[in-house]
Amino acid sequence: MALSVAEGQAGTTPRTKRGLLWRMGRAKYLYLMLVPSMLFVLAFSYYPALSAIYHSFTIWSGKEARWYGLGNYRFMLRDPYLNQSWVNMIKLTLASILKMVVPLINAVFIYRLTSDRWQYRYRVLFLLPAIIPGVVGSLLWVNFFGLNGLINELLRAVGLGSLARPWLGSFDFALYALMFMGFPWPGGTTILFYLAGLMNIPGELIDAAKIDGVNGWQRFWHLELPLVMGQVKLFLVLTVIGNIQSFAGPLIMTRGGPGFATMVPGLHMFYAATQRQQMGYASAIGTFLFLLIFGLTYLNLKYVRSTVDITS
Amino acid sequence: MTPRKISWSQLGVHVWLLLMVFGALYPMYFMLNMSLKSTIQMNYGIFRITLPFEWSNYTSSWGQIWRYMLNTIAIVFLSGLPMLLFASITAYVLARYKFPGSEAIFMSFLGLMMIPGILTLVPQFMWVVKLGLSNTWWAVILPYIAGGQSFNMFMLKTFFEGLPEELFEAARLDGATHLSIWRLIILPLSVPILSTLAIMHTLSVWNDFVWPLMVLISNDIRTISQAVVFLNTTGQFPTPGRAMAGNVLASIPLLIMFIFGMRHFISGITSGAVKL
Repeated sequence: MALSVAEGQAGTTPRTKRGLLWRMGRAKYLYLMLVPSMLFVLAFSYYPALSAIYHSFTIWSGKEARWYGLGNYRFMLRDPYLNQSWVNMIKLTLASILKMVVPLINAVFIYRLTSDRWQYRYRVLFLLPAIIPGVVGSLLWVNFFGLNGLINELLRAVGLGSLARPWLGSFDFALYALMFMGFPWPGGTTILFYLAGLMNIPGELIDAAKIDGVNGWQRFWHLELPLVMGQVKLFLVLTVIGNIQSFAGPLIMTRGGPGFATMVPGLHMFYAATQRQQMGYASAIGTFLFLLIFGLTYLNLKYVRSTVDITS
Repeated sequence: MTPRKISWSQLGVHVWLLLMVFGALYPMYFMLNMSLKSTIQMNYGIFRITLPFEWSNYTSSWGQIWRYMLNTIAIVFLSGLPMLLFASITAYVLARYKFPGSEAIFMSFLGLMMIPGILTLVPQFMWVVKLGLSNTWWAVILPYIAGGQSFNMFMLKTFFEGLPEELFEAARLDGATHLSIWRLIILPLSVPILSTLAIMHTLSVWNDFVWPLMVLISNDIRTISQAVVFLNTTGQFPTPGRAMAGNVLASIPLLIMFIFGMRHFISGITSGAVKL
């Protein structure tokens, strides 16, 4: 006992130094095993990210980039189409947040079923639409919103034919049509994640609540909602981040139009890069969106992550 | 008295859920219904089922679309296998060994979670062009391998950390090398989680639209999502019914995958094996 203490005290500094090299040498095969992952990540994740931030301060049309300082960022403030895009993005995001309620209700109801077999059946049924590729879903809704599509046919069927219009071609309605897409937004994988949270509720707690004569609403409010709050907050952040990033929907369905009625910042960035060769400006928009997402992820890690860990 | 009361509330829950299931599935109904209509039958509206079914829509669209399905399946494998291979090796090393720099390396993967696709999209495109990879499958495969590293590594690392230490101890005493421990112990045990991750990868490659749109230019190398949009929006499908048939066909491989992987996927997520 005494020996080991004395040894430790005597050789602290030199030992750790020699020990470090020795440990590194011993781990040489471990380092080697990490090489493939590291190479890919450096070449195709970290490098493009740094390149984006650097080029956001340049004029870059493809060949040589020219230093432009904060010019791109200054132009972002004055770009009227980008300003329109922010407004659209915020509206679409708020709509997505409201739509989050439906999967939560569905998950709670599936959880309350007493039959295991039906619980499983509903999970399968809600997951089934996931087999439709995203672009096919978008194209299908383009069809539904068309002149003789589902929405207008329904309106005609109930005698409201005068309201029928090409929804996606309408300045006033195109953005609302994008929000309406997917109605009634029942959710698929999200339901499964909520269920994962609900399943963690101890059975005794539910039994105790039942004995106390708690009604369905109280049970939701005081028992089920608090226990999936971690998931709810996480999905909230993921929904907002998704709305900041995604533009494939508007790209396929409306190309941002009519005019700029459904333009979003991501799509504006995409067009700047692919149609106008403004790679520097596109990088600046991308970097700004990154900072926005970074801020949200930070808040997520700081305030939300901990609650998820506690519940699961 | 009590059982009756319970069954009423259960009935209400069923009514709501069945309505929601209808809400989830009606787009599929209309897609299938329209895909079986001739141009003349389309005039009878989209609600009614019209006979005879126009099966030729499917044979015709299959000829236009099969190549892109094969392309995408090839890309799923060519990117998915190395992606999971590298991620699982890295996850194993970081989960099971402490060595100088292991924390820093782990943090460098953690940092990747902070890099959104929207930031790298444009420079990644320029980089791929500069490397001369543009308009080849490498332009999608290499970024997919890189893009999947952090998420898959985390999932696998969490899983590996949960494995009992005695397994490894015994193997090490028998003189097994790092790589053979990974191959003989880790890999067989992680088949369930690997298949869940493989399903997720397949979905994301199958659904990716923007990146292939930017880098795959020649018609014959396109992916399915890209091709479906291209064929639909440039009027390459001769009739609306055939366009819908093409859309249905594009969903079939995912349907097959779900039939085989659904049970596993559902229990994987619900049991919390896949943590967000």
